[in-house]
Amino acid sequence: MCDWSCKKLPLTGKALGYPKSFALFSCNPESRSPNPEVRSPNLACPPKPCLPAIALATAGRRREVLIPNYVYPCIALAASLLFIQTSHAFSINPKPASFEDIEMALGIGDYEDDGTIPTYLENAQCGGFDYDVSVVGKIPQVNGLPGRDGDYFGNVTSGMAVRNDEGFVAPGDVDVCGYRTACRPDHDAYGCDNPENARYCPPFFDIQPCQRPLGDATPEKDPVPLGRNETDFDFTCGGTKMPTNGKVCETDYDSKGYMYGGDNAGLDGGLCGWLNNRWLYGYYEKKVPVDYSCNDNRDPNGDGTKLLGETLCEVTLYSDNSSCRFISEEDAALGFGQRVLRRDEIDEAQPDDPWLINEKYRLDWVTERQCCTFQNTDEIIYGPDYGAGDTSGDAPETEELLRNCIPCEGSDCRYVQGVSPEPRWQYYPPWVEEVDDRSECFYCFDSEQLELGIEVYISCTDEKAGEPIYPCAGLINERGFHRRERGAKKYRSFFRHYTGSYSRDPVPFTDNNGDKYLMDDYQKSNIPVSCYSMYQEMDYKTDVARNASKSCVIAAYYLAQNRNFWEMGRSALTERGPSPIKIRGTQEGHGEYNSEFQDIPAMIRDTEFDETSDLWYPSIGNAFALTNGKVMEERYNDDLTMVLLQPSDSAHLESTIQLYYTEDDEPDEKDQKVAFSSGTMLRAFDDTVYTEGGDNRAIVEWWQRQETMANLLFSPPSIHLLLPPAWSVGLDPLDPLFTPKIVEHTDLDKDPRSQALDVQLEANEDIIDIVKTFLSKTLTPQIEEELIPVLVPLGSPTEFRALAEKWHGWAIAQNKRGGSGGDDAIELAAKLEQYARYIEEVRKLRGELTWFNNQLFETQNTITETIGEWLNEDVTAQYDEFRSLSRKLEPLETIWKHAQSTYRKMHDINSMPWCHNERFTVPIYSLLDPWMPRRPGLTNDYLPPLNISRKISASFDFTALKAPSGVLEVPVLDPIQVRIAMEVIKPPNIKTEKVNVPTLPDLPPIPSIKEYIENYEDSGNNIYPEINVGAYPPSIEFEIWSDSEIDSFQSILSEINSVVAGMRREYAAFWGSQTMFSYDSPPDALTEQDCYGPHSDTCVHSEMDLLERLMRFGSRPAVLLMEDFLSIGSSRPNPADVGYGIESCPENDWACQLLHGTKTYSYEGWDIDWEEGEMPDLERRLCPQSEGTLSEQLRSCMFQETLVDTSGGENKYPYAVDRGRIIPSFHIPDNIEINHTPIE
Amino acid sequence: MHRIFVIIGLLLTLLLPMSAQAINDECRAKVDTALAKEQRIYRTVLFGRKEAKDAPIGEVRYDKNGRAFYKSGPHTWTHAGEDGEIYYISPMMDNEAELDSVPVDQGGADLSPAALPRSGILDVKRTMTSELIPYLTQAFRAFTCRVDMVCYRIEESTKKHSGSGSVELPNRVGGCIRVDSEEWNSIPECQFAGKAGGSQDTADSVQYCQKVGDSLVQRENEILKMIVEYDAAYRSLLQFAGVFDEFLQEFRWTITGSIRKAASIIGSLGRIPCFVSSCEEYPPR
Repeated sequence: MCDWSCKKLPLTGKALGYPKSFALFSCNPESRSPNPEVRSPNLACPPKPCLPAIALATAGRRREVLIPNYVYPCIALAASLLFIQTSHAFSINPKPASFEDIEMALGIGDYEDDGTIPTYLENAQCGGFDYDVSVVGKIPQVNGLPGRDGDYFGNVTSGMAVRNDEGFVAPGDVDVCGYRTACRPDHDAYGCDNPENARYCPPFFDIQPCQRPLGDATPEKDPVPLGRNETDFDFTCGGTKMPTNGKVCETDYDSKGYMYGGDNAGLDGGLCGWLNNRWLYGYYEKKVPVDYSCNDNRDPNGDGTKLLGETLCEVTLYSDNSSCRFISEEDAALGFGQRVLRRDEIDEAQPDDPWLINEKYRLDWVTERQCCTFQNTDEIIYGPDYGAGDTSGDAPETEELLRNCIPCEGSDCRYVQGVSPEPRWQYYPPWVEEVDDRSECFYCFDSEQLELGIEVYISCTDEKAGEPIYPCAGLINERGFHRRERGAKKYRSFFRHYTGSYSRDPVPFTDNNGDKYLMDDYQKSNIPVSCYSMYQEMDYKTDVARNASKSCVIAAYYLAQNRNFWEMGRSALTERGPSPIKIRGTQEGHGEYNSEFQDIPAMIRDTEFDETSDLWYPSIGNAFALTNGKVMEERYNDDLTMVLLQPSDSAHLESTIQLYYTEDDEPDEKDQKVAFSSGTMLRAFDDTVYTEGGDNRAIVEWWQRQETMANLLFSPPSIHLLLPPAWSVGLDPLDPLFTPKIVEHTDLDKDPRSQALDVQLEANEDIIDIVKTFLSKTLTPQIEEELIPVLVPLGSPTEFRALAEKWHGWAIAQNKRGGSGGDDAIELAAKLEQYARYIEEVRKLRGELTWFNNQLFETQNTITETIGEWLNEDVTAQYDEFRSLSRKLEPLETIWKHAQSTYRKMHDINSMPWCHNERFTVPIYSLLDPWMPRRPGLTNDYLPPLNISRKISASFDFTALKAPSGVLEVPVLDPIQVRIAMEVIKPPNIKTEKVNVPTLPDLPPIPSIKEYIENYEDSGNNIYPEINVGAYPPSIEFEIWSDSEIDSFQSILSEINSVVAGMRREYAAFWGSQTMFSYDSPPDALTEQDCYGPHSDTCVHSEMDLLERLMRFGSRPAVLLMEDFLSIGSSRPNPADVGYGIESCPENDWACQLLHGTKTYSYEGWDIDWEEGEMPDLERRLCPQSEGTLSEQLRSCMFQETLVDTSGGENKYPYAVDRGRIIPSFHIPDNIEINHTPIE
Repeated sequence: MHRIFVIIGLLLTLLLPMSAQAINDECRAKVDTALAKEQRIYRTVLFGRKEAKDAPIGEVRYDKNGRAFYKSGPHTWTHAGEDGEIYYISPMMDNEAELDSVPVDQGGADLSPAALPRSGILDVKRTMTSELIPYLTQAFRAFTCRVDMVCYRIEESTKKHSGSGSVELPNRVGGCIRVDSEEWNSIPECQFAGKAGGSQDTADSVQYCQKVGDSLVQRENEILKMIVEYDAAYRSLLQFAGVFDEFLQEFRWTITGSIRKAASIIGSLGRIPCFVSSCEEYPPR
């Protein structure tokens, strides 16, 4: 055995790009005592698998990781052969910075031979097309396997061949060898629950009877070698030895070695051996003396030895069988004729003499016989006449049909009712001859005495003897003995072996070096196929292929290149023995790619000029366009403005599917346009195509419809906010409604003002609040300041106090002097003190504005509250429900994505181990089981359907919004501060005696508009116009699917998921059977054809379509050829013709993205109804003499109160400036109205 | 004793200038009044004058006597001064409103009641500012002339004997039209000839008038520039606004219609992927 010595490398798998880290070993081969028999001829050491540790760990057993010296290519090879992975996704910089980048990517200009994209395409594994090559002859012709071929181009548009339903290639029509048996597996399906059939049902005979063709494995003998992965199994089907080249039918699998004294005979080993040698019963007879009347002459009540009368002869009369039993190992060690006997002696199974009651009359043991055929184990045929060796009892061809298990060849391996034979008749004594006149049982009367009426027995040789009399002549018929017996079960094969091969024409394609040559692997031969279940002929078109019947192994696992599929995949290097072998990647290659991608012009320019209807000539000549005077006059009344508003260039954008009408759709040539890409219409196909179904491809069509529906489901109706351009309604484009983000830099790319409207909105959960704010801002009226000038005194308390102090001083001096005026002076000083205290109260004026704003906001509140309420109740609540139901769709999306991914992986990964094109092969219906519901139907009526109703998208349309005109006035006090006239109150020198002491009035009161307004409002009037809220706008309804509908969608999606997952499993098993092994990890020698259980491992093929299956494996490379392009569907119908619903998306060819409808309602909304848009005149006067609007009245009042009233007469406050000269400060300039002056 | 004389002397010296100051204050006040009136008239020429009944509450106008009236009610004009309150109704205000110091037949502005409402230069509609410039400059030139005339009047008045009433003055200011009118007679308060300290007052008054007049002219110059700039911008806006208003009305439906259509498609466009398979070529037929 070869071994490798390994040491662990410091690298981890992660370093090499694998997702999980695993330990790497570097190994060197060390041969130690190689076993020449086990070795492959060309290698020094048998190859060990080259696996990263992680793969083995997941297989459940930890093994030495053995990696050859060259770590890197080994990992790559292991990856490519074992992990069928999609190639690295190609990516390219989506934003090239310069033209050079673009040239480099496209391979033009300086980079002509070197472009990134062309190089990548050239390295592609497969694909492309070659129109010049026909598919004819390139569908594999399979020999040596049963199944049904077909007419490859009989149903081109379905993508598959027309299966020849009647032309079943039966096992007889191809070479087949195997074993057949008259017994049945111990299972209810074979009637073994009926105790009458017990003899045909050996307990060790399983539904899956054996696991390897040849060898001599039984439960008592381990298989040599053990199964793969050291699996221990019960039976090989037959004995002898498993041939290393897998050609079972060429060995002496059916040697009758036993008969000639050989050992390891095929029929005596394995399951066949047990059937033949261990499922036996005992046969008993009795020689009985009969009298001259042919009656049993023994004393019935005695011990059977006493004779009753005179014995004429002995007849072997009694025969019976014991019940069937399984012979144990020890008993089997005894020879023939001894095995059951010994048993017999041990237990009470010896049958009784059926005629006599006395239990001593037991039958005598004779021999053992086979249970299912009743035949002797020594293969001695017993005939009716004289027993042993008499072959007259049955047809000569039945001379082979003796044992429980016999070989089969050709059509013998078929099991057809009425045709397959039963075992040979087994005959029982008494033999004819025995009771015939040639036996002892006759006598003669003395003829002379007889004439006297006296019966005297004399020997018949005497002269006097009369004619012999045979008393037992009617015995055989009268007594109803078992004359003959036959196994009730016909011979039925439980193991068959075929040798399959196929060949086709090779497909020319280009390999990665750009060379065009034939590297295509187009033929394989000598592929052994072994089938391990009871033969059952069925047509999977009308029957379901149960898992139990999928028990054949297509053993393309032998090392010769034309006997396996190991070189079909990616080319790589493998390490095997002293010299590496290059895996050629035979199916890797591609056809042509188109290097120029032409786009359909999106703009369709109608250059035809229709004189009656077109306004502008479409061609531009001499740099100016001309109008059509006739149309201009008739339709536009010669109005140039209207003319200028019409588009002059009648180009329009048409959204169209990629394809135009072909001659199939439009027989009229003038409506035909170019088929730009019939490649898109290439039909997908599946294994449900059947003869009567035409183009029906159940799975494909069903899936396409589900895609359409799922797209509808997962693009739920949306809510659009339509806003007018900000500038058209005088709104700020930086309003948060338009720009949720704060604009920091004016980057032209990202300036929100130059973005499309949908982007600007970024509709999200807060949208309702933003809308609310927006509405309240726009609908509340503007506010304008109106200045109200007021006159207030200016002074500093310090100054006043200083003056008061001085006056006080003078007063004291004066009083001291005895002059007059001192008291006045003291009064004056007191007044000045008062001034000092109250002058600061001017500051109170500031509070006026706040108070006034408060009044205003209370009024505006009504507007904002009303809007807010409507939004909250009618809109937000519904909107929230809408959003929550939308959220419910999220888990559904996960399920659906999973189903989609499974579907794609099944197609791209599991079913594509190497590049191939399955089109026009014969459909394999057994691949539809067990996952397709309601089989054997081939239609999609029972596949779970999604049925999504189309909903309607909602729009909030604010485009009719207008910002209200008109303003609300807010009076703002504009104080005019004037100093007091200092010379008036200038204190005199202390010594001055004659002084005129002025009297000062009180400080003029601080005016307060608040008081005016409060007085006004107390009488029940309002300074601002009333707000009346009219009827509410209606609530908005969002259409969405209901809770129960979504639940049902969920269950349907889960069903879809499970159907697709089942499909993937089945196809993965099918293709996986050929990718399980490779040159680097071939199966253990002699285990190639093992089958450890049905529908598992390599044993996944059903027998009745082996032909189609091998055809599928051998299908041609993945280059699209001439007839592939005929396998197309038709274009989508024009919705105007068929309707805009689901009917515009026929499921047999299309999966579409249908949009939801939109519904538009007439406008409803709010309006601020404000006559004239101006403040109204107040109802009452705020103060006498005032009239007009609020600000006009306030101005009057303030003028009166602060200038007129306080600065004249007795109350005259000594302002420093003559009040006549203060008046100009009260001037408020007029508003200028800009009105539209129409041109007259 | 000596000390008392000094003190009295000091007091006298203090008093004297005060009285002289008092006299000069009157002349200065007259200068102010005259110049202010010219400025008001000039502004009226620029901006126009409405009829008194149309004026908004808060407007201030002067009457022929130089008294300021405030419109305190829809029909009432109030004056509150040293001499008590005076109330005019609007028609009276029109009658009493100050007129131009230059008579109409000699080139003055007609501000008589019959001529109201008078639109100012800047009130002219449907013209561009450039077209108004000549008139504005002319008005300004007239204003500078008037200021010069006021100062000339003052100067000439100072040469006249104080105590005599107002006398005619030859009104010759270089570069300006001659004006013969009573208004332009001498100002008695500024007649300093033969008065003690008269030369000082003369100098003061003349200086004062020059100074104030110059600064007034300069200020009005700057203000006029600003007015013209604003006006030009404003009229451009009006030009554009008119057209744009039409545009908005006409195009509103096209814009909003396109927006509505676009919005319903834009949202869906993002969901449509590119089907790569349709980029292959087709086989020749």
